[in-house]
Amino acid sequence: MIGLLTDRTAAARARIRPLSPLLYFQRNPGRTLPVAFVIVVAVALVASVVTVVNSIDLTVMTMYGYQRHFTAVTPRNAFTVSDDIQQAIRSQPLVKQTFTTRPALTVVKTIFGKMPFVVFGLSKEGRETVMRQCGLRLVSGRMPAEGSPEVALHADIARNRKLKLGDVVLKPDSEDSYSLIPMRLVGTFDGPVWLALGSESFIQGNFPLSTQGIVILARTEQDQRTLDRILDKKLDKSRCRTWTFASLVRETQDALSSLYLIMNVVITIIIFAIAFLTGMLANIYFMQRIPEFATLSAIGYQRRALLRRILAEIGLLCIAGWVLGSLLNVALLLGIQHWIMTPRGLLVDPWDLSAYRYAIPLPITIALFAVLPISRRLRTLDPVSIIEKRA
Amino acid sequence: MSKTANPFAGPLLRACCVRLAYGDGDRLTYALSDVDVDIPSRGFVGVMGPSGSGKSSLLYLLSGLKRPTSGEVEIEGRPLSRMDERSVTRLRRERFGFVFQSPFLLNYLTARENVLAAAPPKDLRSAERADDLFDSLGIAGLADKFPHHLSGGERQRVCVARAMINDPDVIFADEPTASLDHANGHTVIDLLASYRDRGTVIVVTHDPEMVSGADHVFRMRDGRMEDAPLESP
Repeated sequence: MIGLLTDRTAAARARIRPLSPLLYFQRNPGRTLPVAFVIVVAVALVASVVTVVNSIDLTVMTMYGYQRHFTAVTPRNAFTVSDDIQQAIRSQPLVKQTFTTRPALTVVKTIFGKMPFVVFGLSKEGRETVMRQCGLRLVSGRMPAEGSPEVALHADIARNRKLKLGDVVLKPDSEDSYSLIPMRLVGTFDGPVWLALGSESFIQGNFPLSTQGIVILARTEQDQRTLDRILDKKLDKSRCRTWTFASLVRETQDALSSLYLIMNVVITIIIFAIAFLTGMLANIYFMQRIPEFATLSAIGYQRRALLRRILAEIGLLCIAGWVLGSLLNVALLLGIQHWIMTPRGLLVDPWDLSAYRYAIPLPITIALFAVLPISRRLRTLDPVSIIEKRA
Repeated sequence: MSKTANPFAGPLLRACCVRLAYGDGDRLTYALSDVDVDIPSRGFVGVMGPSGSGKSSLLYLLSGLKRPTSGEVEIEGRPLSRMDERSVTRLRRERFGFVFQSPFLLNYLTARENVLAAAPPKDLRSAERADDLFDSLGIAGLADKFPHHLSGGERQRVCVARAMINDPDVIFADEPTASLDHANGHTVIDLLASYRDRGTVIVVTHDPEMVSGADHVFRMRDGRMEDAPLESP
């Protein structure tokens, strides 16, 4: 038994790698942790900025995501969609059902200001069918009664507007949620799509200038995409407008393209500024160890081996920094989402992978800034000069 | 580790008419001028001289840590000048051991790890050999201590162990006793001298007492050899 233990101890000793980067990190936390901490914070900073900016896109796609589930057609230069257009729509084989709708407008608060949001005035059957199509279910109150000044909202919108059942959603003195007769919240629903529903007959009778549109449902989401394309192509654009998910995505991208361009420029500057500063810090971290490298070089370590060790150290630091920075960002955003965003009905996605992809150039640039000067220094390293200086 | 016999009949190391200059143009200063020296493949060789006599410079040239301005350094008849930097570095790793005036131990490694850092890569017996060395150098209890917990004499003994871990052909020791008291200095010299049967130990010092037991002593002054190799005084 003792012999076995001795053998194991000998084997463990034989495996000792004194110049392993992990051993260096473990024995030098005072030097390693500041560099790792800066990388972690930098990655978390970049990822959080990108996530927040991406939340604009997420907000638009969530707010108007109902267009994944139905197409809407509204008239132009008329109050109703003409009969021939309605006929053309109904003749499409992919159409499962159509409903007439009259919209009223309210708003939703977002991190970039108030955005208009449609209250779809539909018949009782229309409301129920559209809810089913969108995967929504009533979680509190009831659906609006036919002909009544009532509204049912997605629970997130109610939270966003700080409304509870019985509160007024649209009112006569509101600048952005106008209704001649106050319309109250009578129900909230939950599900993947934000939606606001009211009574078509009430809106028709109390909003004299409201137009009558058509809500068109296909059997599947895939069919809906195909139908979107067909209607967009076939219907006369001078007499009606087709609201599709593809046009929503296109318009959102167009609207946000400048913002994303600015964001890319800013993030590139941030990445280079942080990478430069952190790279300099990492460079100091290595330059302070020149006597160590000189000693190793004197006793016969090839410069290439020393450089490999430096690369391994900075590589491990950067990978660990990126992983920990990303985890820190997830934790921070989950906290922000839980305590700040969700109670206000605002959207942010802590698991937005593109944000973490954006942060990848950061550790790479840091590693480059750190390694290039030290590799240059190693090329000209004269161990004797260091040894004589210290002697 | 057993060493194969050196088939080369001549000296292990030879410096032929070497010069080492610092500076450039009109401001050249010669640390070494026309030095010739032969180092045998076994024994304890002392290099003596006052400060600035060029003895450390000679050691740097012989060990390949510096290249001569002119002249040639040979190992077993092969000129170092014909070797690229990688080959010379490999030579230092595989065939030479070093003890400097300051210990130059890595502070974050234990004494044993410092010694193992100089061991041949992938040598599974090196840990065992390090333990044997610690035993024979009388520092067995210090193997797991960090350098800052060791006295100057203990650190220098760890350096001797580091120099011996590869079972080198030559150990170069540059003023290894300069920062030690008399007793510790003698202990370190005795430990180095004990290697004379397995290879060559070259000790550079300005203290004649430290090379009193040497097989050969070279005396230097103003960058030149004072005389031909002498027998031990």
